Amino acid sequence: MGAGGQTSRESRQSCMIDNFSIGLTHGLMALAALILMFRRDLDKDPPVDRRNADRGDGGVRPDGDA
Amino acid sequence: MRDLIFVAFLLGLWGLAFRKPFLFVLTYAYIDIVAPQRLTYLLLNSVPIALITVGLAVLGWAFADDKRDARLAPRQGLLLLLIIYCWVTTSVADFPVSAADKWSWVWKSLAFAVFLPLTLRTKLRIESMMLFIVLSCATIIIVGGIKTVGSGGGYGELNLMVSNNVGLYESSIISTAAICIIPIILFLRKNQTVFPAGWKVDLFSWALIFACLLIPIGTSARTGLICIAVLAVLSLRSVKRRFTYLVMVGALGLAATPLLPSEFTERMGTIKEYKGDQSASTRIAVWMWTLDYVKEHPFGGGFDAFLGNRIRFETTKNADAGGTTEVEATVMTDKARAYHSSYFEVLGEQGYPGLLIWLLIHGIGMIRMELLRRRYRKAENAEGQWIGSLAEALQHAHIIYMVGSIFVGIAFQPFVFYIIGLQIGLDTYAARRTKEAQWTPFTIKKPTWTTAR
Repeated sequence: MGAGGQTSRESRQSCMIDNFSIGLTHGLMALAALILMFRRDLDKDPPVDRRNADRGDGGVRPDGDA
Repeated sequence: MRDLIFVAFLLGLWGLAFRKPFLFVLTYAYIDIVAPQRLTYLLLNSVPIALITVGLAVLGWAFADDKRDARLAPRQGLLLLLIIYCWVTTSVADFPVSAADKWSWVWKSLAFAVFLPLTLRTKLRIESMMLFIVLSCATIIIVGGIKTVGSGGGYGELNLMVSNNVGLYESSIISTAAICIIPIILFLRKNQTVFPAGWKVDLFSWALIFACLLIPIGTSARTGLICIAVLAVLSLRSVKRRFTYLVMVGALGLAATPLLPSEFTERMGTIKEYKGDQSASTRIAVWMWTLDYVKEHPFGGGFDAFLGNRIRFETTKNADAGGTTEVEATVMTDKARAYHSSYFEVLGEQGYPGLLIWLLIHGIGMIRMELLRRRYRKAENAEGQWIGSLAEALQHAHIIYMVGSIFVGIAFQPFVFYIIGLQIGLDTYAARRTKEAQWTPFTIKKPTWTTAR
């Protein structure tokens, strides 16, 4: 195979790598965006749970100051 | 085909963002980092997608977001001051056309850093912003990592999808940014809640970190190696078994050395033999020129003031001649050499006042993260620990960037302003949550998660 053929193969491989990376990361970003649509805590944090702050659940409960 | 995928992706994000306007902010970060308009041949490169997205992000925040706690932190004030100062120096710049060109993108990245913290009101928003930054950077880093494994790369030879060295696609900048995001990837691996935790997240995170470490090898950028060394030292602060960590790092370094491409090891060798290296000698000469320049122009020469430099420098080379070593000195001249250092870039372009504001923005950021880290790292609940760990990750990323900045002119690169925006966002978030937790009408004792030190 000549140099031209090799260059063409390298170029094809390079393009495949580019497409793989674009596909993977953009797929993950699209999935993340979709998941975020259904997360209510994106726009408003649950209130701080003061009484059970040490429980290990983040000190926050969706039902308010329990 | 690729064009259509980008268009579909962007339209999809815009469509979702009309229901959750914060997604416009995430979309802008994506466009700013990946620059999809540079990766396509048609469609996107003829539409001002960044301008449209940032406009929608601001409108979304102005009309649909909760602004009850919105307030400007001192660092946002400093950023605004820097914008005004840069505008003034641009209007009296040594090279008005070139300065105006740089100003056209610098003010946008600074202004977005002021705006970003206003939108980062919730824990999930901070987390998702970091996720989008990491995944956007990963688009370039994965390509670089795989190609390095395949071909070994080389200085200026690694094909990162676009041929022009703009933004994060420039080899030294992507080397710094790739190492910079490693602490953030490690944080997200443990703490992100968007994707279900498990082996898939672990696998992706470790593979991405490996790709990040390959970028300095693939690009043969010496700055990247220095950043890796800084990362290794900083990680000592957070690892539990320091001795085991040191042994592992040493063993990995020794095992990896024979596998590194010869071009990389040769180029890294020039770090200690800088006198024989033209690139390093030029840098020192430009830095000296900058110091002389600001003696006469203490308020700086405006963006791209380096275009006026004429430098003369000497390179030395040791040559073996019959058992004795002869030192060959060559005098070289050059002109319009770039600063190759963010510190000298700001000093030459914005003078001492600009450098002071710029250093304050970065210095306060790192100190604030240290304070948050110390306050929350031993918190007894998850939210406090989350704040402490994130403060540490952002601080480490920032320090790595600032060390990398010594050798690369990336003072106004938008990437670092995302880190600053996240730091301000985290700081105000922690302050607000502390305030909320302290509002205890029937108890005197302070909540443990805010007071643990």
